[in-house]
Amino acid sequence: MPRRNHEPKQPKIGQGQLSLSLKLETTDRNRRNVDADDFFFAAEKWLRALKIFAKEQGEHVKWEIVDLRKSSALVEVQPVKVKSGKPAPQLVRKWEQGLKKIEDTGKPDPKFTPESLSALHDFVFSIPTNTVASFGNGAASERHKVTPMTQRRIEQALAAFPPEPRKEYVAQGSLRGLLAVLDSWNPDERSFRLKLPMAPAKPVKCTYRDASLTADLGESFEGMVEITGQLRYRPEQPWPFAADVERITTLPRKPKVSLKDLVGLVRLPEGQDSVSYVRSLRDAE
Amino acid sequence: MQSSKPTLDVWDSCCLIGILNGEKDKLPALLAQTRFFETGAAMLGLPIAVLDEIVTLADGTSAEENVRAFLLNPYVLPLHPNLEVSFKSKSLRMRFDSKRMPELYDKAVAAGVPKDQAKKLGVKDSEILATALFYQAERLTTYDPFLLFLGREYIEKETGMVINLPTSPFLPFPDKKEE
Repeated sequence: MPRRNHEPKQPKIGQGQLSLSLKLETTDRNRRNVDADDFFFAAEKWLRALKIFAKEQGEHVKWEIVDLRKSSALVEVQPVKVKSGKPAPQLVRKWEQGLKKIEDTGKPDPKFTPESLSALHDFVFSIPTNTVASFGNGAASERHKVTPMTQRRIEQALAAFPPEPRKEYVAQGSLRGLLAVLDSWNPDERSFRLKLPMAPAKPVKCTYRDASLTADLGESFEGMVEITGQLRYRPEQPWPFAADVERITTLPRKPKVSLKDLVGLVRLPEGQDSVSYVRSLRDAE
Repeated sequence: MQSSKPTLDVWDSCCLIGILNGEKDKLPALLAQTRFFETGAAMLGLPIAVLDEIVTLADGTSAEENVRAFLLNPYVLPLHPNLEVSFKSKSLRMRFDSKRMPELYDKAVAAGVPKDQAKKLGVKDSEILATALFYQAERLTTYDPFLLFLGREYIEKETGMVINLPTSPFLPFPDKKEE
């Protein structure tokens, strides 16, 4: 039985990995109490790591406090499925197994995705100075300290993943939008603004060197065009903020061929519909 | 083109191929989306992986010219993969793999996904899903059972993006404005 709602201060031994705990202790002999700021700061990072781990595991859970003690500044939480209200012990086991493997080997464990490992890294490196933090799983005997070796192993595991793009980057591609403002007067920086349908408030600054690219754009002014070239992106932004244009294609103002004009133009092999056809294509790759 | 931001509806290949193949069970719902696109209420997002499958199918057939002309419509938005799409796609594949998520297979099969499709998210499927998520689409329209399952079970709860058949109206279409 889960311990939530029932005598939260009962001994934990034998409860069997239903919960996870974080314990903070001060190393300052003259001040035995843990600083509240330090505790909540570390606990927030720890809880964030647990939440991201659960999310990456596809578990929709909330974390309930099942124990909270002042004497040792300990908080113990248990994942509970939002839908059913039942505990999710497998999540605790996965966390423990994954963490143990990482601590033992310094290699990433499949249970930790780059996102969840990054959150774990964030936690272990944010433990306040003069404080010792311990991981636990509900059984007092299973608690162990976060040591410099723990930090090193987690750092090694994280470094084993390929780096995610975090800076501006450039990609060759094309982009459709409305040609909004044309500035072709300055030969050193000819440019126009492209207003994107999905981000109308953030027009893309499109620079071009070849003046002939815009020579025929009179008709397309304020119409839809497709530009091709090097698109400049900021991290986590779906649309580029700038582009170096190599080609401009004017799109028709009104649809010339609509969806209904496509009906029945292709005959798939006998016995296949679009779903089985696409599946056979993708499975063959 | 409306001045406000339209809805982004990303289509999987089976939708356009269903139209090209004239599949009667799919045509009414798919063609009903036309008015959303043609009035500027929605944009039709087509990941390059989808475009590739459509263009390859039409290549060398009598459909080629019409498909090309259709893809130039102002409401069609080709969605390019880039670095972030690639990383997102990789993360999705790592996550939705029954080797890493043992319960995935049983859940998917219980939800009606054919057994041979319930083990993991494939490369192209993950690229299409990652593209739709990266470009912050409101919806990914597909008939693929595994993608539909992932949408219901995980994606919609976590991101808000709906993965569904084109049956339920996803936009409160402004009928009053039409009148």
